[in-house]
Amino acid sequence: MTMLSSAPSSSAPPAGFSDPVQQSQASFRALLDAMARPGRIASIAGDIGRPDGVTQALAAAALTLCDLDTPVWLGPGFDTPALKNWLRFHTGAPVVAQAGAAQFALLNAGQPLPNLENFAQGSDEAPEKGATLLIQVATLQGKTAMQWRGPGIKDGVAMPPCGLPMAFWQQRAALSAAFPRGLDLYLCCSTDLIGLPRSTAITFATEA
Amino acid sequence: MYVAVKGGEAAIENAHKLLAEDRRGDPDVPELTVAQIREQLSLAVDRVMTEGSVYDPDLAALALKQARGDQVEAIFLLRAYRTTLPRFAVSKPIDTARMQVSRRISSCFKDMPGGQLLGPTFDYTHRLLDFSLLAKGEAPQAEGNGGSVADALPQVVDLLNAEGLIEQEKPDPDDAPVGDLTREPLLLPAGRDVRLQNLARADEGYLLALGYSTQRGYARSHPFVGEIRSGEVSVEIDVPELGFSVDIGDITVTECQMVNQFRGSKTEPPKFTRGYGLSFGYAERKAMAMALVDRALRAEELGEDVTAPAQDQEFVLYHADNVEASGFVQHLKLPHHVDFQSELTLVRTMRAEIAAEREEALREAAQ
Amino acid sequence: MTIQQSYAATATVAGYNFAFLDEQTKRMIRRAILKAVAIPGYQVPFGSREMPLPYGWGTGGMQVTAAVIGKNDVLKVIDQGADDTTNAVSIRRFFTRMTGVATTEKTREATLIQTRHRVPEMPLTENQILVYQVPIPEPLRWLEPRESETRKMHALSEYGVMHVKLYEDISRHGHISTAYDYPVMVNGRYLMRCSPIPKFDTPKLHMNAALQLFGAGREKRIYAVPPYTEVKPLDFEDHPFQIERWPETCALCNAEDSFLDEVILDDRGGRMFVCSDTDYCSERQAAGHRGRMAAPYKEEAAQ
Repeated sequence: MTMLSSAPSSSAPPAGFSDPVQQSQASFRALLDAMARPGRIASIAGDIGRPDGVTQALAAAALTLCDLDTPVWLGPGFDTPALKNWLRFHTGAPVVAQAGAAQFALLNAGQPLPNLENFAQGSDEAPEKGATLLIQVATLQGKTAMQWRGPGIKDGVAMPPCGLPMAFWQQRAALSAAFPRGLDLYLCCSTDLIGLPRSTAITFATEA
Repeated sequence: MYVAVKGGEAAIENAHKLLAEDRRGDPDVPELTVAQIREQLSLAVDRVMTEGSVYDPDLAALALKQARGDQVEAIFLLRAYRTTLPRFAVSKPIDTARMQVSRRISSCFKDMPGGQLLGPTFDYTHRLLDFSLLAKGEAPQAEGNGGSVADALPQVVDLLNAEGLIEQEKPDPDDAPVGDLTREPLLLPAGRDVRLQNLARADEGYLLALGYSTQRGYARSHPFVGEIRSGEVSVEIDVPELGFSVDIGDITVTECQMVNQFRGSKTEPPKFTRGYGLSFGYAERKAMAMALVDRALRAEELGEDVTAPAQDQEFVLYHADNVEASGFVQHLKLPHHVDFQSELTLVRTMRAEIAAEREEALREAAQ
Repeated sequence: MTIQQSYAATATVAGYNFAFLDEQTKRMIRRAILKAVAIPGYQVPFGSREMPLPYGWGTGGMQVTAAVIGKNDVLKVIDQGADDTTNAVSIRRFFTRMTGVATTEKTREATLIQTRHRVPEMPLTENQILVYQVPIPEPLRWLEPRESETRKMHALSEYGVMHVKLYEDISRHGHISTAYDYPVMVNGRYLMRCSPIPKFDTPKLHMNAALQLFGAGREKRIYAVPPYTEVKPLDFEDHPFQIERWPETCALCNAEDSFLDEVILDDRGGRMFVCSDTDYCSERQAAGHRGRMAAPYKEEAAQ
């Protein structure tokens, strides 16, 4: 059946996956590995078409996880026609105006980030309704700023701020009290990503 | 010396060969064609389409042939095929008021606008084996085409609307999307959309028993057949690019509108309520049973006490699907020797302990 | 060489997508798996599909495997610990036809293991994923048949009924009479069913290096135990959790640390015990271990 809409034009969005079946599988395994082993870097290889200013890891995550059934919210810096068109063309995901209505949010750490409480946290009976945030960061390196502990982490792992302000980490650390409600995060930098599920507890050096 | 038996693969392959042989039966008897099944076992085909959730008489007939006539197995084949189909569009609701009816009856009125039309039914046949079918029979010709010429026949239950005697059926005000159990798991409490979809896919025998139980006093709802109609309706899809909807073909369906007494409540005067059933083809028994169970499941909504099995959403909906039920009942055939070994070990330990205690007690008593 | 490459990695059955499921269905399952990993032990509802095998025969595990598997994976499928039981053969064949991936009977060679009723004896590694087939995911189901109720109990972490049940067992039988599918607490928060593995295997879930995924197709739930996660069987101080023991060692490989199947040899009570994990047993035999009924070891002729 032919697509009735969106005939290619000079402004056609960048390509996305060239082999959707295999690339989305490989990307999913990276995402799964990252979520199962918080703090450990997973990488997404290959060449993935994406709008300017979007890193490969974030683009691959969005193409792998989003579709018609997943409302997406675009944060400051990502709320552009180019990204919107690209996302809509490849995934069909509805872009929503309210952060709280989104199942996925695409965030750029180079811009002011919204308060984490704005996103859906799920309920005690349906915690899986808590949103997944895909956050693009400039680096996954830096001096140790905190400890992560929890499922998937053998002993506890020392983590840098990953290009995010400490206020962000304080907010995230505070969410643990509401478990199983909460947010699941991916920090995406170039072809690399780190997963941070809600089950991970964060403590700061000063508390130790 | 002991050598473990291997060769699961060879055994499976051989089982498949034996199955194919048995399916064919005596090769001296001519092989059934899919067209023969489709044309001459059409009610079997209708049931497979209904519970298989795919309207395709050829595929349903093929499934029946492959399943050696086992309907639940054929339904499963069709469902498993359905899983792999892409979704191109969502059709508009079918309009059964515009049905080309081949059968239409009501038990509430002696006559009504458009009239009663008996159509092809077993109802008044005497159930005597017709030995003439043993030989090759000529196809009898019915007089007239049996179909309705009217463009639109009013729904009998709507005739009661004029007096406000029956509840109105209105779409949800919030414009919520219609649920789809084939894409989302059943969550409770389920809305009527999801319940009706569940019942439409439900095992006919199961619904028949549940519906029957409501007639025998388990959630008595005083049902009358408001109307049963069978015939062809057209399926339309919206094409946003064209700005209008397109007719993509006709399907045969049977619809049953049950009318049930309602004593009224503090806020509402007595009136009639509805139960609804719909099936593909001429699966009339299914549509009727479905309507009874649909009404029973509305107990909570109508402020009735939930006391009977047929009114219990969680019980009815979770056990209705014969593909699920058949799979789980039959999975007991799979090896369970590891679990059984655990139980054996436990039972032996417990027996040994009890035996030791008894011995101890006897020894003490003897002293 | 024990890995069998049956097809070129791209060749699959004509007309079907890689790993059978369409991409949208895989995405839906993948999203559910990620949430399951993020909330260890919690059962995520998912839009389970009809598979070409019956419900109750591993459709949940198969859907999880289909959503996870890639062409570089090496797949092992076991049922009751064995690679050659009929349903294991059937499921392995399905994935061979639908993906063309390599399969193996060797636990150490596998990247992805789908199992029914057992956890392999050999410790798993960080590079492996274990997928369990689950018939009934709800640990409270025999105590409370209503999903609407059990959902609330999980929300409140209200598991008193299970403790009461186990305690009643003890007072009646002197034992907890649950031999398999033993209830566990995951990460101190969720009560979870391990699928019907024997009690013997339950401790293997605790702090396992591999990711463990659980799929219940008919009941439409996916759940997970991430690597290095605390999994604790429910027990009491004066009645600690205990695993099964056998009076004998494996008759073929003499193992004293593996789960043994009882094989009836005659109608006069004659019996023997052999490893349920066929790969573990044959590895031990290859290494020269001999049980009392084993044939003298000789290299198998190359096939």
